[in-house]
Amino acid sequence: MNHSSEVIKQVRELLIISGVSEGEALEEMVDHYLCDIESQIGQNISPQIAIRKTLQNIARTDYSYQANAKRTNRSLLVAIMGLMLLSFMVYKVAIETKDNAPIEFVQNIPVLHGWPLEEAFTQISSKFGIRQHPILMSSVLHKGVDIKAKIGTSVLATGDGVIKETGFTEKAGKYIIVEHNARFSSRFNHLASVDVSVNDRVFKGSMIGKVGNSGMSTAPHLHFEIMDDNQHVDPLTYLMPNL
Amino acid sequence: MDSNKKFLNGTLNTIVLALLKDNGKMYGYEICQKAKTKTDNSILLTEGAIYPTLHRLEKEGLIISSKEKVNGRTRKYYSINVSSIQEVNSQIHLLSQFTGHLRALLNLST
Repeated sequence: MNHSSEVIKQVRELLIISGVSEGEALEEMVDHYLCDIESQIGQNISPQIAIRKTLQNIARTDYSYQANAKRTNRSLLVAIMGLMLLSFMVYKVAIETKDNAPIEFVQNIPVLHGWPLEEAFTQISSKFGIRQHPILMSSVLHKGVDIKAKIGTSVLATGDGVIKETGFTEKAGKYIIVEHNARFSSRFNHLASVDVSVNDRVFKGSMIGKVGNSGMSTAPHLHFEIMDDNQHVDPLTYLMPNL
Repeated sequence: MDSNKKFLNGTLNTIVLALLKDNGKMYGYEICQKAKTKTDNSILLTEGAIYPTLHRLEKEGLIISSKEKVNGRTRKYYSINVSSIQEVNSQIHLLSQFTGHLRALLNLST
């Protein structure tokens, strides 16, 4: 299978940004990730999702084992990642519109999420991925990130959207789900208060609730999730710093 | 998965050698896939583990590499260095012997 030179270029550039130095090792890694994309497509995953997953995987991987790997500022990397994904999607849209592709695709472009709290400098207390649950004491997928914050800190919508659901469960505590478009939604758990109602229109930066410690939680924090095509993704690879 | 990682630390070299000996010429991604399918998805070799190992084994002269053009890109294949086959065999033998001892010890304590 032949990848478009655009995909190869993106994989190579992201690897360089991530600290892999140019040369034989870089070519080997490029081949590795293109194989990864091909293998996913072979399992009936759509090329766009396969490419996105692989790019996210590259952004997450630590290449410091490489002899002359440079340490790169992570937030810069995340920002560049976001821009690359956006440019890739726009590029795809451009191609597909030319072929009279359905226009709804335009509404599926990734949301460049803002920071979910009014305070910019907060500590991530637990990342996305498999972890030992602090209360259940078993290995489970942590579907979002935990951001440490004081009770009462304002929780902000990370992108424009509509409130799809609010409520309370024993596990999540008070929660809010925001639908951004046909593809993306985000979820906020363990809130002290929910300050919006279902079907409310919200904008990036709108205050929607307050940080709390409700539900199955050991300390005040915000649990924040992003869903892409109904699949949980690592929010840290989608969050853009509030500029 | 974390405990797998701990065990892999000391054994990855030998696992890679055994896979290459069994399959002849392989590239990095193929080795990861092979390890995955052979172990019912339990052993997932990450790129952060496999490539440093391959590069080290090549430096030590136990394996050799060659390049081929595939789909317009360069693919690096690795295979056992025939002149080191005795060393490779002995490493594989030592690890499988050790695995046997481990099994005996673990059974004893249950």
